[in-house]
Order: sequence, then C-alpha cells, then structure tokens
Amino acid sequence: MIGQRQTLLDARDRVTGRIPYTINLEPPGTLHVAILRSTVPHARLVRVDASAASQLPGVAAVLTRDDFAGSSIRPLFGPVFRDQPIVAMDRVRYVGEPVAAVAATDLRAAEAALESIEVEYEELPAVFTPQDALAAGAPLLHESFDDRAPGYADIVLQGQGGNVCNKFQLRKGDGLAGFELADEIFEHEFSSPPVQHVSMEPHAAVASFEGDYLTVHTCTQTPYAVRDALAYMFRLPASHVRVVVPPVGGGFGGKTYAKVEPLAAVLSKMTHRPVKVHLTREEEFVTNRKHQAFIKLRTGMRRDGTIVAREVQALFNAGAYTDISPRLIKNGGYGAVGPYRISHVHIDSYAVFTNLPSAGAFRGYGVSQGSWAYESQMDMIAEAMGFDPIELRMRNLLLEGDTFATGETLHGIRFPEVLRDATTLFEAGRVPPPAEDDGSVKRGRGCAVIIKSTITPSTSAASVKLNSDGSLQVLTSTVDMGQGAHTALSQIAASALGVGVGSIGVVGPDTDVTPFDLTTSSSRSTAAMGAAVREAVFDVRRQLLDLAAQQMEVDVTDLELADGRISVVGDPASGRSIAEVVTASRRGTLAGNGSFVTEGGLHPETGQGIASEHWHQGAVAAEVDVDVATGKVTVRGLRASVYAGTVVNPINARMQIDGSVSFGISQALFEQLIHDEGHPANSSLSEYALAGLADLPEVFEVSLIEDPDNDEMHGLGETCLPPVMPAIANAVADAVGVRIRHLPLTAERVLDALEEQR
Amino acid sequence: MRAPAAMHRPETLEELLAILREHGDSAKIVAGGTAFTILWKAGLLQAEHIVSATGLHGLTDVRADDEALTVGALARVRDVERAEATRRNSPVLASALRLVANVRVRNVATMGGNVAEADYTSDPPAVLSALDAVVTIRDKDGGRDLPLREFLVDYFETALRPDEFVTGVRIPILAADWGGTYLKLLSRSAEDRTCIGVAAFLQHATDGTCAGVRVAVVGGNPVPLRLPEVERQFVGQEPSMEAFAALAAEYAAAADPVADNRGTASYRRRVMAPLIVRALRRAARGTNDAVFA
Ligand SMILES: Cc1cc2nc3c(=O)[nH]c(=O)nc-3n(C[C@H](O)[C@H](O)[C@H](O)COP(=O)(O)OP(=O)(O)OC[C@H]3O[C@@H](n4cnc5c(N)ncnc54)[C@H](O)[C@@H]3O)c2cc1C
Repeated sequence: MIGQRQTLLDARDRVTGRIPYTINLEPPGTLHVAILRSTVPHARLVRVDASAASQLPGVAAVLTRDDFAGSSIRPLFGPVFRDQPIVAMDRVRYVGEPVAAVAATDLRAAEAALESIEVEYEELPAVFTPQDALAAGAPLLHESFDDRAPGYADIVLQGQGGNVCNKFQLRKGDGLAGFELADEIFEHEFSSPPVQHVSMEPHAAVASFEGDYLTVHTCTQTPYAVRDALAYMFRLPASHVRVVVPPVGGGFGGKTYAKVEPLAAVLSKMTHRPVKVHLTREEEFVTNRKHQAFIKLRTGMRRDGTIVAREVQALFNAGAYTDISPRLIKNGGYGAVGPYRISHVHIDSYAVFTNLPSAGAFRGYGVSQGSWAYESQMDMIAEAMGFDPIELRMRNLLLEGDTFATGETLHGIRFPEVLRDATTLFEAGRVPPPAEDDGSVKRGRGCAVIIKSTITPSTSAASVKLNSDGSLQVLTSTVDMGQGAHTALSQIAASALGVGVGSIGVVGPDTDVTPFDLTTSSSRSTAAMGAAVREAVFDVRRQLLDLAAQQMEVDVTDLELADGRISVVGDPASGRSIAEVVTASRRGTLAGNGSFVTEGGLHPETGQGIASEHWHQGAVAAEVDVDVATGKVTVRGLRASVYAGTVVNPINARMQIDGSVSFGISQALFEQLIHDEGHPANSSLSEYALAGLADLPEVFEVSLIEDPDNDEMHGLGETCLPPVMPAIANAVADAVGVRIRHLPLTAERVLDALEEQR
Repeated sequence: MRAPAAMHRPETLEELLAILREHGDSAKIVAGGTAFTILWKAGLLQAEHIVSATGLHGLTDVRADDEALTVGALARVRDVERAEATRRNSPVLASALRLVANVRVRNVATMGGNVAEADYTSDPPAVLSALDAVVTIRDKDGGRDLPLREFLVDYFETALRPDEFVTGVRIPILAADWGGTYLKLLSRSAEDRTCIGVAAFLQHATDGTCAGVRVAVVGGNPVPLRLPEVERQFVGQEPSMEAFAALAAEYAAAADPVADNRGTASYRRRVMAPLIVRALRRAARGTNDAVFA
C-alpha cells in the first residue's frame, strides 16, 4: 500500500540472476550479430565490400549500405531528426560508428567474418569540441535537416546551420539590459565532460520478422517510440510491430529511443530468422553518453546580494547525430537559471555536432551541466561579496507563487526548506573529523540546490483488469529497470482498490497489449503512470460498486469498499467480497482505463510558457576531506534532501536517492570519457573509473520531505544527482581554497590547482 | 579468427613442466585467471596452448620456519592473507593483501599469478620487494631461485623462460625490532588499481637512530623501485622528518613513472615523496599494517 516499506517485488530474482533479461533471450534458431565499426572519426566511405564475408561458414547475412539500394526499408532513424544510419551510408562520422554487421549462427563466426569485410575510407577533417565545430571553416557533419520525425510537440527547431544541431533561447525581463541594474557582474566558464551510463545490462535486442509482422524484445526505456520508429522504417502499420520489454538491467537515459533495434530488425528481415544484437561493454562506450558541456555564466548582483540578471551561453556537445539533443539543450538551457528569482534572463543554449558518438538522455538531463555552473558560481559570488553561501542562496531562492524564468507561476515550492534540511549535516558532531595524521588533510563543507523539470507535455495511459477472484492485473508500458516502478505501481493500484499488494499483478510493456506511455524517464513514472493506474483502478472500482449496488439492490452512494469488501455504509455484515461481486456479475473480468495527460510548451523566441507540469526540488550538503599532498578528495559526509510529496515506498525512494548520489559522486570525482583525436581512450571498466560502494561517505543521510496535506507523488529518480557535483566542488573550495571549474575533480587536477595557488 | 587454443589440465607439476617444455613459446599458464582472462579477451595475450595450473595437487601451502614465510604459487590471495603464518610473521604483507582488489578477486587470484603478471600497479610486489622475497622457479630439469627484484624485469615482463613455472615465494621474516607499513594511493575510485603504493620498513637501534630501512614503491616505476644504496645511507641517522624527506626525494628523483588514466608521470612523481614520508612515519611508529593513503 502507499507509504509502506515494500521490498522490490523482483529483488530476489534480480540479485540471483533469475530475471529473464533481454541479454538472456535466445529463441530457437537465433542468429548472433557482430558489428564492424569505423576506425576513423570522419570519412567518406569509398568502398564497403562484404562479398567474401558473406560466403564464410555460419554467416547468414552481412548488412552494408548496399542492402538499402532499391530496398523499401528506410535506412535512417532518430527521435527528432532521422539522421542516424543503421550502418554508415555515404560517410562515417565517429570512431565506432557501425559500418557493417554480420549475422551468423554463433558469435565467433560473426566476429570472424568481420575480418573479411573490406572498407576503404577517404578521411575528412574532423572536429571534436563544440567550439571547434562552430569555428569558421569547420568541416560540416550534416548538410540538411529535412527528415523530422513527427511528435514531441515541445521541441521547437531553430538555429540549424553549420554544425548547430539545434538552439534554445529564452529572454525574460529586459534580458541583457538587466545587467545595468547590477552593482557587480560575475562571469565564469564551467565545463563537464562526456560520461557514460554504464548500465549493468548493455543494449540488447532480439528481433524476429514473421511475414509482415515484426516482434522485437528489447531493453528500451521507450517501447512506443521504438515501435513507431520501426514501423516507419519498414513501412508497416504500427499494428504490425510489437515491442516487448523484459525487465531491464539499468537504463539511466541511455536506453531511450531506438538504439540497436533497427539493426536487429533489418538483419531478421534479411534472414527470416530471429536476430540478436548484444553490445559488448566496449561498444556501450560509443553508443550513447551524457553531453559534454561548456557553460559561460554571467550573473549580475546587487550589493545587497540579490541576483538581478543572468546570461547563459551553453554549448552542448551532441556528437555525430541528433538523438534527443534538441530537448536536452532546452531543459538544460532554462534549467541553468537555477532555483532563483531573477528578473532579467538571457539564455542561448546550443547543441553542436562533432565527430564523437552521439550524446543523449542521461540521468539529470542537462540540469547536471547547468547546475554545475550556477551552483559553483553561487559560492564564488558569496566568497567575493562576503556573504555566507547558504544565506546568499536563501535570499534568492524561488518561493511559492514566484514566476520562473519561463514566466510560469510556481506552486508547491519548498526550496528554502529543502536547502535548510540538507545543511543540517553541518551541525556539530554529525561528521567525524579527519583521521589523525600529519595535518595534510583539510576538511571543507559545501552545498547546492537545484530545480529540475519533468517532460511536458506528456501522456501515460494504463489499463487494469479485475479478475473474478478479486485479483487485479495492471497493464502498463512503464519499464521496470531496477528502479522498482512495477512495485510502486502495484502499491498504488492496491491502495486505490483497497486490497493487498499480493493481489496485484503487473503486465510490463508489450505494445500489442499495454497502453501508450511516452517514456520511462524524466523521473516521471511513479507520478505520471501512477496517476494513470490510479484512475484506471477508480474506473473499475466504479463499475464494481455499480454491480454491487444492483446485486444488493441498494443505492450505489450507500456503498463503501474497504479491505476487499463492499458493504452498506455502517453495516459491515452486509458486505460481499470483490470476488463475489465480480463472479456474480458473470462478466469474467472488469476492465478499467486511466490516463494522465499534461500540457505545455515554450515560445521559440522568448522561451516563455509552460516548461514543466511539476518542478523537482533537491539539495545536497557535503563534507569532504582534501589531502593536500595528493589532491585526493574523499566525501566524508553527505545529506541529500528532496521534496518528495507522498512517498509511495520508503525503501524504493531511499534507493533512488542513493543511486543518484552515487552517480553524482562518481561524476564529481572520477568519470570522464577520454578521446585521442576522436579515438576512445578508456572504453573499458579497467580504464573508465566509476565510484564503488566504498566511495560513498560513511555519513550518508537521505531526507524525503513529505507533504501530508497534499496527496501528490513527486518523481525522485534524478533530483539529488545534479547538486552533488557542485556541493563537492564547493566543499573542496571551502577546504583548501581552490576552485575547480572543470569536472571531474580528479586528484591530479586538485593537486595542480593547489600548486598553482601556492 | 583466432584458432581456439588447446587447453591442458595437468594434475602434477611434472606433467605441467613437461607440457611447458614441449610447447615452449606457444603456451601460456593460467592460474586463478583473473588477469589472464582480461588480457585474453582484449587480445593482449595469445597462445596456442593454455596450461591450467589449478588442477595441480599442492603448491597451496602457507608455512613459516624461523627464517622465512613460504607461500605456494597456487595459494589464493585470500588464503594467504588469512593464514596464521602470514599474520604472525609478515603482518604488513597480510594487511596489504587485504587491500588487493576485492574479496571476489582475492578468492580466486593466486600469489604466483600476482607476481608473474608483473603488473606495475600491483600491491604485493611492493611489500615482497622490500622484504627481499625470493621467487622459486621450476622447469623440467630442475629449478632456480630468483630474488623478486631480478624476477620482475619490466612492465608485464618477468625473467621467466617459457618452460619455467613459479612454484612459490619465500619471504624472509624480519626481526621483531622492525616496524613497517604499506600505503596505497588510489587516485580514482575505490575499485581502481593502485596509483602509487609504498612499502616501508624501519628498524630502530637502541640509541634511537635507524638501524635499517627498506622502501619499495610500486606504480611509479616499471618494476618496484628500491634503492638499497639510499637505504644504506639512512642507517645511523635520526628518524626525523628531514631525513625521511631526503630519502623520499631520492626515490622520487630515481623513479621512471608511466602516464596512464590514473595520473600523469609528473603527478606520480609529485605524490611519491610525501607518500614515502608518510609511510616512513608509520613504519617508525611500528603500525605494521596497510592503509589507503
Ligand atoms: C577487478 C580486479 C582488481 C584488481 N585489483 C588489484 C589490486 O588492487 N592490487 C593488486 O595487486 N592486484 C589487483 N588485481 C590483480 C590481481 O591481483 C591479479 O590479477 C591476480 O593476482 C593474478 O593471479 P591469478 O592467479 O588470477 O593469475 P592469472 O590471471 O591466472 O595469471 C596471470 C599471469 O601470470 C601467469 N602465471 C600465473 N601463475 C603462474 C605461475 N605459477 N608461474 C608462472 N606464470 C604464472 C599467467 O600466465 C598470466 O600471464 C586486480 C585484478 C582484478 C581483476
């Protein structure tokens, strides 16, 4: 039931490996795929010759661009622009881009065949940073932007040209003229590197064409988007494409929209057999990533500590293809204003193409990059102007009824409370002092607070079936990827029907069966799908009560439903069980439907309008030790506070914050994808550093701020990630006086800064 | 496609040595497989014959006599770290082993594999080098003993001939008036390999000066860095911060660090000296442990 500590329903199966992940699926006769990938960052593809490879033992098909000549299959896909080829067509645009793929009876045969494919490249000049890509005379990645996919009304296309993939802009108040009101102006640049999601389960899909009917099992976060992309690609009615999503082993944004499904599907069409694509860890590193970002932040301050104006110039490195960059730079753009009341705002946010793997959705969705800039700068301003960093924030935080930079009026705002709550970590005695040593370990404290939107407009629909034994099936396209979404939905359904969680069964995403859902991302599923499920249960509950009223010959308004029994108000003895009512009705099952639909959108020139149906509010306080001899930063204490509304499942909620904070610590201190002239230099888990459990602080507190007066569930999946990085950097600055503006805060970077300071 | 290698599973040392003699260059030994598997999958290791050592009976003992602790090559790291003989006779080694990888790796990784891998970031070689450990080696005709410092030749390179096999490591036991420590710096996450590791041992004379000192550094050099000449000059000095710093500076100057994702050569050189000083201070206090820096 809502509010109860409910162990994840599939926890045991997940940790014992009994979950039927996509990577474990292998229908009889399945072919396995190996992918030949580009070895150069940018080139015209002169020749791809797979004739020898296709003759090899075990090889069923080799896909190259030639297979699309004269075919009705559309070779390009993408959620906003269809600009990404299944295998390279006329050129390759990054090291690791698929050039050809072999489907064979076993993986060894497929891998072996790759060696017989001949590829000739004519190399082109390449660009790797957005700055270089925007420079005059830079080589262009794309010549046209005409194949826009329908849908995603919130995405406005503008600014394309050169290597600009898309631009978002916002003008509030007097914009730049607002800086005339400032007594002091602060301008700094901040950067964050590309990082990878590193889901435990890599991308995998099994596709199977039977006649004109395509079935794909895949570990996607967006089953309907994948279905629609495949239907378009193969010119099939959507009714002929079925996407099924088994439990997923982690997504974090990296599994939104079609990724490996088109390749599996094309090869299945060619071979008339089930085809499985299962990426290696190394391939994961070139498949999708968080946007590298460079953010110039100019902030105008009044002497009294009021922020009057803010200018944001953000460059997001989109990589070679559009993916979802246009939305990400929008959310990242307005998100970079921060949770502050600022009268004059001017934002230009760009997604820029480069010769690197495409960037896409990543837990934190643009807000991490923006808050890294504004929350770092907040402390820099506080120090320069002589304010306490917490008080400076308090003075400017958005309050109930304030308008955000987008002009929308904010409700349910708790920023001061959330920030205060986080900083209770700093009370004396909470975090033990540095271990006794030679005095080279310094302690520092820092905090950060962020605002984050959720995807708007959006739609979630759910169906339920009430069985004649009183149990209830929930049909939902929400993906359970380890976050416990199905557990939470079970609790919500159980509460709405007034039965135990044991009576609820959840049918996961199957586009032939489960109703539409936009996406399992954006911290939205418990809130959005939860609302849809609740409405669907209420629908069935109404039918149930009507039937009971008929059967009992009473007025429906005299009936109540509690603990699985329907009875006349005040007369429990009159009651019948749900099962008795459904059975007596001879309907077999009762079906109910529910949906949750939000509206919004921003004006293309001013960025004014409705950006988000709900605003996530989170803060983090951190205490760190900095070893001045090595530059090593150790997080000793951390408290993450979030405005949680109604907590559906305290265990789950806590684990979402634990996960967010580990991501944050990892990105603050360790993570970065390194390239050498576009060649990945750390595409393995030996070389790519990720936080482990031992990197989490010994004092690690999570505070879920609830609202007993308001029955509203808030998303919790991301909110406490973005503030972790600036909170740690602020704590480092507090400890040793050095300000690091470029993530991550590696030991070497901190040591370099310390030496520069000396 | 790489031809699948032939797998050999000898049950006796004699059989194993015969296979190595026969297939020489084209054979590779696998013990716990924790390093081997990664290298093999990455294509960094190639062989036509893979000789699994874990089917052998024996070579897993951890024993001590008055002079030395002897560890069989096939003893699992986890068993060595927990053995009473190790904890009593070489407490710094026991603690340092506890900081290797994680318990899942240590449960399968062998001591022989650890030294034979010759990874410049491995921890045990620092302690073993400082303790003047000797590697015992066998081939079909007999065998030889090599000090670890001669056994480790370069990055991922040992003095082993293709037909030779490591059977164990002999670790001299220090007198009770020695104190020591191992200090492990992880420049990145807690799951990472070592950036710089320092093993330091110090013996106090009755007059308060140093009767002996041993320092070995891993991570900052192709093989564990030990400077016996510098150590000798230290004998008779007061164990002061200045003296520690002077010794540490000599090591940092002599080091030949490599750059990798854990730090540049310059970083490794810069952090080496303060870490050596820190390790020596702990050794002087006789902490006899291993800790993260
Ligand atoms: C995730 C992870 C983390 C790690 N972290 C650390 C760490 O923190 N500190 C650290 O010190 N090490 C670390 N290691 C390395 C680990 O200690 C070594 O991989 C392990 O000790 C090797 O032993 P093995 O028995 O598995 O050797 P194998 O992998 O079987 O073999 C390693 C090499 O030694 C050769 N070999 C093995 N046995 C013999 C023998 N008896 N005679 C001759 N040649 C032989 C093999 O041919 C091969 O070249 C880590 C490894 C992993 C996978």
